[in-house]
Amino acid sequence: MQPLFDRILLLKRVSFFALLRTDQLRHIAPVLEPAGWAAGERVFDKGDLSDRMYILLSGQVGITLHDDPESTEYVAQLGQGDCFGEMGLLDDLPRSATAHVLETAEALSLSRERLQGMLLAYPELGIGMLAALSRRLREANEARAKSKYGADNPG
Amino acid sequence: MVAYLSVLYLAVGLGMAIGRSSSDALLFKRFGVEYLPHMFFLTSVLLVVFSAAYAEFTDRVHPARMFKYVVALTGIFLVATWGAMQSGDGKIAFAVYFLGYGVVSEILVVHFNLYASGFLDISQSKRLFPLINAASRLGGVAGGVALGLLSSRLPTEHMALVWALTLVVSFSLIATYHRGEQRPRAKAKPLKKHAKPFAHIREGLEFARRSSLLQIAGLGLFVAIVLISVQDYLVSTILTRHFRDERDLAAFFGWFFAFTNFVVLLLQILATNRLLRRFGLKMVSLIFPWSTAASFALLSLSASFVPAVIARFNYTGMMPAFRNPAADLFYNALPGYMQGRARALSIGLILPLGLAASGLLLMWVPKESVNESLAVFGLLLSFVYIYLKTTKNRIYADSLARLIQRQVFAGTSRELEETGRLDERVVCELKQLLRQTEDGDDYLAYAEFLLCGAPQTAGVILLETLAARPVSVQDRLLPRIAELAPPGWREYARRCLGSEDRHLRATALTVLAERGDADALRAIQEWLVHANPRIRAAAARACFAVSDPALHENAERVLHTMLGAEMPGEIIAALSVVRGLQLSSQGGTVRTLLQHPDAGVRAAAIAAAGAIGDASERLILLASALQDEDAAVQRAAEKHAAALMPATKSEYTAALDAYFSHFRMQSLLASSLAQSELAERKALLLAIAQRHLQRAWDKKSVALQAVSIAQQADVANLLCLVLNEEVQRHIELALDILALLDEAQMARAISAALASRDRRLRAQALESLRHIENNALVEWLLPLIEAEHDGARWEHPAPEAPRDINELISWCGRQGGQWLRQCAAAMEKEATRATPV
Repeated sequence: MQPLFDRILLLKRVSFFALLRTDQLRHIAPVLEPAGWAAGERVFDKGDLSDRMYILLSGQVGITLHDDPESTEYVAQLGQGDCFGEMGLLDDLPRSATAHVLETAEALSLSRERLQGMLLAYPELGIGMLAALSRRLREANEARAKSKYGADNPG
Repeated sequence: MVAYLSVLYLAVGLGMAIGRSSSDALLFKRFGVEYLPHMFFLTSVLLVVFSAAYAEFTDRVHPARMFKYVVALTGIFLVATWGAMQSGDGKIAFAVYFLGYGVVSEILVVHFNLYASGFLDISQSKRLFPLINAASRLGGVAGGVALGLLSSRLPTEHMALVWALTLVVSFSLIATYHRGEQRPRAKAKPLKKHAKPFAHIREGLEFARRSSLLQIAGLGLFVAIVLISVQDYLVSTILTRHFRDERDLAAFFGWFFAFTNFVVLLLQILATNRLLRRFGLKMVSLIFPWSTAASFALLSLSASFVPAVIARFNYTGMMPAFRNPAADLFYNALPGYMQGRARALSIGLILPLGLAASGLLLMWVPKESVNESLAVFGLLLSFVYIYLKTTKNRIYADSLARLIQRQVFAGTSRELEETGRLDERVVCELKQLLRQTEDGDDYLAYAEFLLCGAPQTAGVILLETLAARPVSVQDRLLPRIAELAPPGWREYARRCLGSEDRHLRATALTVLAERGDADALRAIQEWLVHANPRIRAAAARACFAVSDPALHENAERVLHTMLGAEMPGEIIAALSVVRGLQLSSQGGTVRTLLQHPDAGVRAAAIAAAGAIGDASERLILLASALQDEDAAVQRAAEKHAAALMPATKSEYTAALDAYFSHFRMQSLLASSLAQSELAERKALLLAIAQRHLQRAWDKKSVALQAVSIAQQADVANLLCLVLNEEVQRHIELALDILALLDEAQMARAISAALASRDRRLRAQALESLRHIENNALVEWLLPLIEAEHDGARWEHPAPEAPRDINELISWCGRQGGQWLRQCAAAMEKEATRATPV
């Protein structure tokens, strides 16, 4: 199949873009820029400038919240179809986590300026982002509740 | 628990069947059928008294215990009545037995539902209540058969004891199930404090004053009760004459009761829900009114045995099978807080009132007139009932749409212009606010209100404060004030000509020149060569406001120069003049500017393209702008599409056909057509909507076919996805067209409800859709929406359905929308390239 169609089908499976129609995705797919990293590299460090978000095409990326960029205490491990780095694009704050490449990864990246333009043109994209962020927040709350329960009830 | 409730319902149903048939037979034969109207009246009085007493006690006693009390008291009453009937002192016992059945049957039904609901939550109720009700119907069948068999062996008055016996069984069942009540039952709910029934009725009356649906439903119920009473009286009189003694009559009633219960059970299982799903409440709610009219028509031809049997089936079979489920569903169109009160009003007030009125009416009818002439009266009243039901359907549809709109956001339905005239008090408040506010946006908002709601005074009020506001605010409001021309506006505008702000100066020049102001005309020549392009553009526009050919020529020259300039700002300023004046002389330049590298220029050019060429050329330009890579150009094209639209029927027909696969163009064309003055616009819109839905049917079928093709060829996945998206877009387009065809409120509500993920809302939307006047569209829309949103099975194979990937690509290339065609073309191209030569 044509690379454009492959990319459209991939984006359709990504929760951020799931609400957009394929004829809308065809305008978005070409403006996503390819990116790639070898295992062991870091995509960005905590505190870096937030300028783009990523959609993983292959490989694995681990997210750590630790201030030390070398730390490997991952709060999430992301795979194909997952997005990361979008929070800073929305709140204009520096990166809140470090992204480690665990397995050689390929991704598509989207700059802040393009994302903002897309949000204006396709409001459905905003709803998709809200849904994905809500899910992530829910998962974080559950993880926090679990760790609190573990601390309160050792053994 | 389900088995227990089912057995209990069966036992109670069995007893009720025996009670109903035997009490009817005994009253008619022993007491006299001519007293039936008196019984109606007395039943209504007793119902009010006993319902109030029941409601008073049901608050204080646990439902299980209350059930035992009701059953025990009924049993004692039956034994006592049987004793009285045996003594043979007077006929009054037969009337008491009849009245007792009337009261007990109502209270038992109400309490049984309350008792059973204590065991079930809402989701269980929906699934299990039909099962438990079916047990009650089977009990009715068994009771009817039992009476039919027993009546030849036992005197009919002994049936009171048989009924009492079934109550003993019921009592034992309840007592056994609730033995050791101290240990909590797993599912038993805590005792709730119920509101007083009279308070509910009073509140129901309050709601009825506000709800037209409740008013018409109440009136309909009242007429229905009168009709059923008239029919019952007439039928009972005929049947009493036909049968020799009460044993034969009781046996007939028993067998008939068994038969009707069996048929009702079958209808409820096999027909009612299917008819509701297929045709909606609109049709199902009319079945009983029409069957009533038909049975009265038969009786008016001949008030004899066979028509009487048919008529009895009408109110004992057709009513529970069709009228009661439909009546229950009508409550869904009322807001939740109103539903309980509406039911209380129906049962607690309208039912007794209807019975009392029927009783009084029929008491007045001479005995010898209880024949065809009473049937004719019933027939006439049936038509009133049908009319009320039809009106209720219409109001129901509106209420449902309003209910959906309350639950979803379907956009603002009212424009500022629709708020109507403002009264003096509001105008004074706005005047105050305009004086006090320091925020420009707030000032503009208040001014908008005033301009729309009180245009006669708005100009004067605004001129009092406008000069002290920011120039951007003055710039926005000056043209609006100029339109109203209040005293002193010209002086204010002339002062604006001297403003330091060039935008305000340009606006002032335009409004003054358009009105032939001498100061403005003097300034034009000077401003036509001004350095600022906006001032020059404003001067050029002002030139056309004056009937001076020399000035026109001058302005054309200035505009031409500006359109050929390098700076996008200069071109855009000139294009705004071309747009406003629809200058065809600059058409060639505008056409070229549609290809300009600057998106702002392209957007301004499409806005100014209204005077270019003929309709077909303008539509080509519009379609191209709608596909521009820049969203601003697309938005400008949509915003100004009205100026590019066709004018005649043939132009619209050709355009709708040529751009059939272009969804946005279709939407814009439909919207423009709806707003046009063309006499055939409605027919054209209906035809195009129907064509879209036909195409959607085909695409839906082909999308299903694509799923199986995708197992062999991966590319079919994308085609399947796009096909389904296009089905959705066809549906949206058809709903948009429905909204344009005088169904705006309902179509908007339906679209919003369908977009929601709430099943209940979607069900309401589908029900609303069934009430839409354009049946032709609804027949196409309903199956599609049910398949798209509720996963209903799609059973409409497309003609020439593709069998493999090549046929699928080819089909999509021919029948698809623009994007689907592009996908198909790209896939075909790739396949050709990949094929070895």
